[in-house]
Amino acid sequence: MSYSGLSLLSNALTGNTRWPSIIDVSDLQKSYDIVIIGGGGHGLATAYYLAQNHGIKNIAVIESGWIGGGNTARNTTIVRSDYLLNSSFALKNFALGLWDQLSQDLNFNLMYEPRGYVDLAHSDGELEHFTLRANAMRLGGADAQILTGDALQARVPELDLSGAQRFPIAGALVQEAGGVVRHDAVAWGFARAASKAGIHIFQNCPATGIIIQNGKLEAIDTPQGRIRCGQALLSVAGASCEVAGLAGLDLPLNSINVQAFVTEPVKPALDAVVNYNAGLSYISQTDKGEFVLGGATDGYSSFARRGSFERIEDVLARAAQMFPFLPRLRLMRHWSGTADITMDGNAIMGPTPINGLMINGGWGYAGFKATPAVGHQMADLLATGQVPDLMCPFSYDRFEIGTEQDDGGIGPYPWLH
Amino acid sequence: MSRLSDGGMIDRETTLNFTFDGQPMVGHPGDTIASALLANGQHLVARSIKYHRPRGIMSAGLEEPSALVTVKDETGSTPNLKVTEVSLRDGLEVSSQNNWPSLTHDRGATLALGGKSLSSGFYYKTFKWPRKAWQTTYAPIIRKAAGHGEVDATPDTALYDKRRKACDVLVIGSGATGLSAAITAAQSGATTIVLEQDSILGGTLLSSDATIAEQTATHWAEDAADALVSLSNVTVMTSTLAFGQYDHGLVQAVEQQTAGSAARSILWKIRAQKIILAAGAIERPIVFPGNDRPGIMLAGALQTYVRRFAVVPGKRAVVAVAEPNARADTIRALEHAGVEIAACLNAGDQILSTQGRLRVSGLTWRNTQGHRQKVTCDLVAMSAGWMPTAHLFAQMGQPLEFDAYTQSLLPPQTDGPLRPVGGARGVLNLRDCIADGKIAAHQVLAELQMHKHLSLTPPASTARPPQGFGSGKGKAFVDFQNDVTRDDIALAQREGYTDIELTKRYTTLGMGTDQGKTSWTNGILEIAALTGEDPAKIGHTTYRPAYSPVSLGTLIGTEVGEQMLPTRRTPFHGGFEKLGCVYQTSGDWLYSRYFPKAGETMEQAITRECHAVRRGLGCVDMSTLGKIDVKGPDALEFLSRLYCNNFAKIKVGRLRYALMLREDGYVFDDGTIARLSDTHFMVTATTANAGSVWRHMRKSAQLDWPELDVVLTSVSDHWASLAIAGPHARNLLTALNPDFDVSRPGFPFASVRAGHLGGLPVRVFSVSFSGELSYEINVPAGFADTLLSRVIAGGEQWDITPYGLETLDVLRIEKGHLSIGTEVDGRRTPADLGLGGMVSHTKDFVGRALLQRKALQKDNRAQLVGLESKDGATPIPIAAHLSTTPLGNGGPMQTCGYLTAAIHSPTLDHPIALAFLEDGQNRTGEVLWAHSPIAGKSVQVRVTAPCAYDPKGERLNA
Repeated sequence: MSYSGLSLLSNALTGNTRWPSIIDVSDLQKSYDIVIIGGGGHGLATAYYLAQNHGIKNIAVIESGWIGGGNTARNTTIVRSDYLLNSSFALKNFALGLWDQLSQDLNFNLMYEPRGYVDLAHSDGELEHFTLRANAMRLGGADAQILTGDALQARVPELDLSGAQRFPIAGALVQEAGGVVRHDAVAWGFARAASKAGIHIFQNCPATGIIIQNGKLEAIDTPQGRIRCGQALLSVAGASCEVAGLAGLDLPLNSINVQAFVTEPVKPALDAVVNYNAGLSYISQTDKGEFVLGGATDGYSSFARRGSFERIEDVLARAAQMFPFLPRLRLMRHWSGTADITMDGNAIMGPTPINGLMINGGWGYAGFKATPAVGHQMADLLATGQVPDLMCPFSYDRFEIGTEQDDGGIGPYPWLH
Repeated sequence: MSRLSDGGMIDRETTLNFTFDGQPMVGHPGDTIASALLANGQHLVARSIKYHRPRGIMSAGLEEPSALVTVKDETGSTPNLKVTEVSLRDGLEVSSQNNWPSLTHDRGATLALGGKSLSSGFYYKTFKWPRKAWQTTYAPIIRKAAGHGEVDATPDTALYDKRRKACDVLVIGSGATGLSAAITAAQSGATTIVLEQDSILGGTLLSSDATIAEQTATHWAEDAADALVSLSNVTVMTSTLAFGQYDHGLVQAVEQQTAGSAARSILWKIRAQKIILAAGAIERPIVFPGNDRPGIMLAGALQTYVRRFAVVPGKRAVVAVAEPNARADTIRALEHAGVEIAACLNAGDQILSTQGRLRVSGLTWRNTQGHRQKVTCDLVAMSAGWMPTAHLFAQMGQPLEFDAYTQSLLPPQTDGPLRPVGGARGVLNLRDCIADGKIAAHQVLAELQMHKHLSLTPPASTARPPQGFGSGKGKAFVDFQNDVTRDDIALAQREGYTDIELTKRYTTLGMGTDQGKTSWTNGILEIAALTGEDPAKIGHTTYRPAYSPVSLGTLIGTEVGEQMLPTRRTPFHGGFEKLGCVYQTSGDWLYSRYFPKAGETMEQAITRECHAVRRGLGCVDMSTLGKIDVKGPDALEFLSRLYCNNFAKIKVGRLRYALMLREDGYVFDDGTIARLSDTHFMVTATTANAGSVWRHMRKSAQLDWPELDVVLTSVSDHWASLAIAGPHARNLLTALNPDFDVSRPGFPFASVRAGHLGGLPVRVFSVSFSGELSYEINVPAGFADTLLSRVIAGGEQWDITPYGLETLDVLRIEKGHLSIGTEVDGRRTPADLGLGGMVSHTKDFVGRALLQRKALQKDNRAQLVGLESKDGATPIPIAAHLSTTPLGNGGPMQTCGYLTAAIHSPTLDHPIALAFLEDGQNRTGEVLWAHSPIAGKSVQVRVTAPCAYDPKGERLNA
């Protein structure tokens, strides 16, 4: 059933009893062309684009928990493409273009709101570096501005530019196409469209084994049985190293705790997405009215999904530097997720040493914004066997050959990215 | 007034004035806003978030889902406060939220007519066309409709504090269980802290008419509280909400402002060996059509309002309480308040509907014989049972388990630091609670070896019948705050959002400021009833702190404004200030930026300072550099492994420029290594990396090469470092009266001397960042002022000019020297930076192996080059990117590099720049475009060597 204002009204008349399930219930087959391990945004997007762009539908998506229940559910929903390195910029900017039309493509309102992403610089030197990034974006075909003084104040009226702060704000890079997307809806929209195309989605169905013979992928084991497949994609975010371990792969990444938190919902008081850089703190207000905040990782490896409170206090102190009314609000909930962070802080995408097994991981806490682009490119790879251009820089073997994509120049210290 | 003439725990002698939506009202000390509103006959206090339905006060505690208000006091206004959580103070202005034009006539209520088309998740299904309409039209409307109150946009100037405590036994909650546990723990001598979020101790004892040991429950509580307060090993903290449990026995709590404290609230971090969670239980509403009207309240809350606050909550009540004892207790309380019992429903009765616009006026039900019955009433007392307040337990990740016997989510057996006790584990009977608190205390005391082990059996959880009332069809609310109905939950199941987490996210069940305190268990039971699934298999969503919202101000504490982080100032700060220095924040530091003379712009000052250094004499503060003292028989070997260049033959008294790589082969930092004796070195790190180089060194010494005999000391703060630079630098050094030879042959470039300058103990390093003859004079930090004043006085004859960060940068750009963060950006090999020749081929060092990687050897890598504008005059825009072609028409264009710095060179009097350019070292002389769309400029530039000034370095030995 197509979603529209009209179908809402007509279903209301029948007491909303005729809405179908977004995911058709299917029986697990003994074999599929492709098994996608991980029913998060990236995995489901890959499934969708395989059907949509390549007509490949004999696919199973297996998810250990509930769809979109990993890092798709645990992020601050920010989308943007403000990167200096062309590899990072190109992929995320491609994603921004897709976000812009996905609600219509999927017939599911993902609530992409380009409210503007505002990245604050705290010195003239930092602003010069932001200008370098803004120029890269402009030359790459994206929008970007550098705003200072009154222009910045007009753009973000709530921002404290008085200078009476520990790290006064010198200016900002602003990307108007940046903003937020409703994170859960991404998983649901892709799942619904994929299911409609005939792709099988299984929840509570973890991969328990990856069967390899002579260096070639044979099957994926699950509690519901063995699934033979020609290809499989490993797209499990925070669980990347564990699941890759089933295939004997030792990924160059650490699993690091990263936190986010929300205030009570209040009426709209901040439109833009704003990022503070003297100690990371990013903030936006959800459609429901909560202020959602995040910062850097906790800096230690953990699967606890429970972080160190010091990070929260630290991020909040920075947020209050930007918006001095914030202390009046109340913290409603704080949570934590597992970020799979590589030795250059960027993703690993493409073939693995195991023939037929592809990987998409290492996104750390930066993967949400890239979701549709990753799905699109992964579908190309799985369908054609050719690594698409946008994916090339993120190869599995880049650490060995020395083509790291280190946006921050931080180096092989995942806890610092 | 709807207040009993006597009884209750309010101070009738004192009257507190407050307003609700502008209407003057009165209350008494001891009241909450909720009890005061009810005592003024005000049941209608809010409009619901989605349908704008009239809502009243349902509970008497933090679980309140509906009655959210904005409270204004002398410090400003705070939205979304639950009327049940705020003690009444004189002068409070209380306002309802989310209605227009008024609470009684709210236009938003017409939305309710949208009815079923506003079902769960309707916004995912529509608002998609026209394509940009969501962001431009619909989202702003939805956003305005969402949210509860409005935030006060003025800066919050209140004071907040943070403090720490530790104890043997922490007791959270002070009802029968908590008091019993606390007294038991305290009597054994354990240091004990009791936290109570309410303003007085006693919990539900304060609203009970039971007797304990021939005393009323209230008197028993008062006696217990007195006993606790009198014990020296007990700290009692009221108005203190424990909002979260964290690893290793840490509980965080917020204490609301108390008399005599300047802070609005205090964040307490309490580290306890054992924690007794005696937070009681939360009553469950009944899910039936129209269960949300003002006047429909939880039965336990009604007992509290009558007995503790002496409120007369209505005239005619319907009692719908599932459990017989609780039903009788409720009736006793209502009758005590003179409320007529219009009807008392029996288990199995089916509630069909309620009537009333702004307050409940009637209730219709079908009894077990099938007869439809209807009464008028202005009050409904409801209870479907109780839900343990085990939130702090579940926050640590161990799930609660649904228990059919108690019909609630119970914490499992645990031997962790936190023990749910009493109501928090489903024990509801008063005497059992007292016993449970005592036994739990004995148990943890025994575990702490403060007590012998007693074989006591804790009482069983209290059985509850399954939900005792049926329900008709209609808008039956499960989650009141989010307007989530039974139909919404059914829709979620139908549409495949069956996992409890998906149900929550699709319907918003359990979200919001109450975090589902009254809705979770009902939600699970509703799903079970709909799907036939075992509630135990449905599970629950993750419990997360905060148990109840806590102000961000409290969590930030005193780290606000310029006090957020300490500001580091160098030892020369005061001296430079007198010289007219303009400072700038640079990382942790306040750094001298430039020294303007009257009427000068920054650019003019920089040009003057540059000329002074190149032509005469300048001085600059270098104290922020990292300085590490490396000592020991293996000091040379240690440094040789850390840095990539060869300096094995470095002689005592000499120093070398040195390059440090990361383990992945990229340049990490540069600095100097000065040899003070055979086994003693002084190493510098850049300002930006002062901390990280120090950590890297310690890690290497302790973990990688523990066999090396080396002692590291960070002496960054011990030495003040002032560089004198310029053709007259040696003249000044001589004038400072050194007790060592400073002649050119006696003290050549790249040397170090320890001695005295006019009696001042110094180490002088002949190094140069500016490219001029230069000496870095280090003195113990306490002598900074003396050194500076002597340098300024001694240098006067050469017109010594203090300079700052800006001039330092210009001078180094002219010289093509590297700066951390710009050229040394974490992605460069030594060869990329033109320093490939420094890398030793004869020794091992950190980064050597990975530096050999294939892609790091390629000759088309981006390499550091210099640029000058093609015509020698047009300014080169900062932060430009390089291309072989003119600017295109907006589409993506191919670039081959970018600028790291661009200036108008004061010395050369033409524009120069530094840049990374693909294969740049082979492109000298090539003309490229430098594009800056941000500046709107494209300029033709010619590739040069990075060093634009004195490439042979002759001036260093002037």
